[in-house]
Amino acid sequence: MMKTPIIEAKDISFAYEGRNILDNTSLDIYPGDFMAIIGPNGSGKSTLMKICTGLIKPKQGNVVLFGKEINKFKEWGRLGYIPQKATSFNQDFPATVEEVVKSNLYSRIGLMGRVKKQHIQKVHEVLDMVGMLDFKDRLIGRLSGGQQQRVFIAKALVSSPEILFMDEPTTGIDANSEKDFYALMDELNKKGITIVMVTHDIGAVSKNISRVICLSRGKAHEHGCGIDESNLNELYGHEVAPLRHNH
Amino acid sequence: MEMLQYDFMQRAFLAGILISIICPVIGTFVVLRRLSMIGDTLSHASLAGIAAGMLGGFYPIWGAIIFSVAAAIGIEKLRKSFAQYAELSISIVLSASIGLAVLMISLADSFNADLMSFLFGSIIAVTAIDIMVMAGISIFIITSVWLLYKELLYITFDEEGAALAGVPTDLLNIFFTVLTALTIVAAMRVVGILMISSMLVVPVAASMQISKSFKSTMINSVILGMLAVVFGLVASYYFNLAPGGTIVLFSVALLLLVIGTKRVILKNID
Ligand SMILES: Nc1ncnc2c1ncn2[C@@H]1O[C@H](COP(=O)(O)OP(=O)(O)O)[C@@H](O)[C@H]1O
Ligand SMILES: [Mg+2]
Repeated sequence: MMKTPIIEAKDISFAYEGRNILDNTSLDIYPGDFMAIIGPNGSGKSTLMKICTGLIKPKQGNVVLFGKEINKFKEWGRLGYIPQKATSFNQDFPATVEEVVKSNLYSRIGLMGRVKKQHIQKVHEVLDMVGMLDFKDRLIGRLSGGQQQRVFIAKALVSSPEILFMDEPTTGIDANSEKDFYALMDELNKKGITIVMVTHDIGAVSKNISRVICLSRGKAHEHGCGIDESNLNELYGHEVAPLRHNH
Repeated sequence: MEMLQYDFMQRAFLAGILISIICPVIGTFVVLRRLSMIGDTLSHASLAGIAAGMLGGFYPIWGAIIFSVAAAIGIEKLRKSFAQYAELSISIVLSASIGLAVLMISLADSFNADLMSFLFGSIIAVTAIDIMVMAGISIFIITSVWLLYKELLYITFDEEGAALAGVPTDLLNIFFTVLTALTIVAAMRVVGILMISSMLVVPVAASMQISKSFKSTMINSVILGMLAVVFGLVASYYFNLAPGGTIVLFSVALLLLVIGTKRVILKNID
């Protein structure tokens, strides 16, 4: 049986101030995918991700989330999104790790809903999953970049999302944290969470990545359907490390 | 505590306690959203409203509520046009409010003692009606923050994340700015229009030095605000000074004390 996509972005065009960023391009994401979106700076990777999560509206085209038109979609807890600048918040913000993760309980309990014991349990469960439970009472701004990122992943996970979008999650974290990060992503993907991430470390992408999408000149191309290592250099406009995954 | 025999002092203390709860509670969000200027803007809008009340012969606090809430909505509407410069919309509304206030005052030809008491704060001018209005506003503010605490914390820390989770951020932003306007109107009688903004900001700044979570930042800022209000009112009574000035100076003194104590403690740890 053909799987139906959980996210369909169809014939998307988008322009900032008259300059075309995305040009009539489409992207389907299937349940269980572990997708990497690559492409040069400014090619529209973040823009495409924001369109898929409904944060910005495309100029043309439409987005279908879990079989529903995006403007009729309500179950936002099924999506998790960690923006490119997640860890560049005000580092003096006086919130604890637990308070940060709790904030995203909104999608579970709704407007004016009260936080109950079972919700706090869920918060602790996801903090444990990312290995940050011991840090729950620490101020978020006092953690390292890698640790903050884990907290943001926990924050996204607390709504039990079926798909996790991450924009350049490994930028600015050290090699060890990066290894741990990919291990965590593999684990989450095995649990059935669909993973989509924008990344530049083409060489370091996890062996478990199942699809690579390259964004260039407003279009999304799937690796294997028209892109190979030689024209990757051309797409990026400079020499890039070859993709190191085997299939 | 002979001063508490006087009705006006009882009223001033009651008003002061309410102020020392609502100002830091709302102020915590204001400071952390980096909107410290909003206090000045909304208080000048209130001033225009008070002058309008004096001019039109109606209860000036109603004028203050209408003008400051209108200014609050104006700020949020303008924010859409200056997405990257939230503070610009605040400055624009500040200019308009000051202009309007000056215009109203000159029209009313009434730069009188009453107006002065609104500018600098007063302990003797607080009437029973003022207290009732302040109590009503305070209950509304505290209940709103209690019900919307997690939503307000979410938009303060991560507005985009909140929007993605489905929080109605536009509505909440307007509602929060209206709460800020109401806070200012409630505090204005005792603290004075010129000094309200400091009541929103200074206790929170002090609290941030010593607090280990968002919740404790809010609670400690209320405690610090309450100390400043009590000391300030006592000093105002005994030395016959405008309470706005004494309260604000005590809160600044507390801030310096907190910073100093923290330095000494940190030094001893090293
Ligand atoms: N808010 C904005 N206003 C105007 N231009 C923007 C805005 N955000 C991004 N851009 C431009 O759109 C292009 C695509 O941006 P983006 O999607 O962030 O690219 P990428 O994530 O691939 O680096 C870039 O040229 C960028 O400068
Ligand atoms: Mg980007």
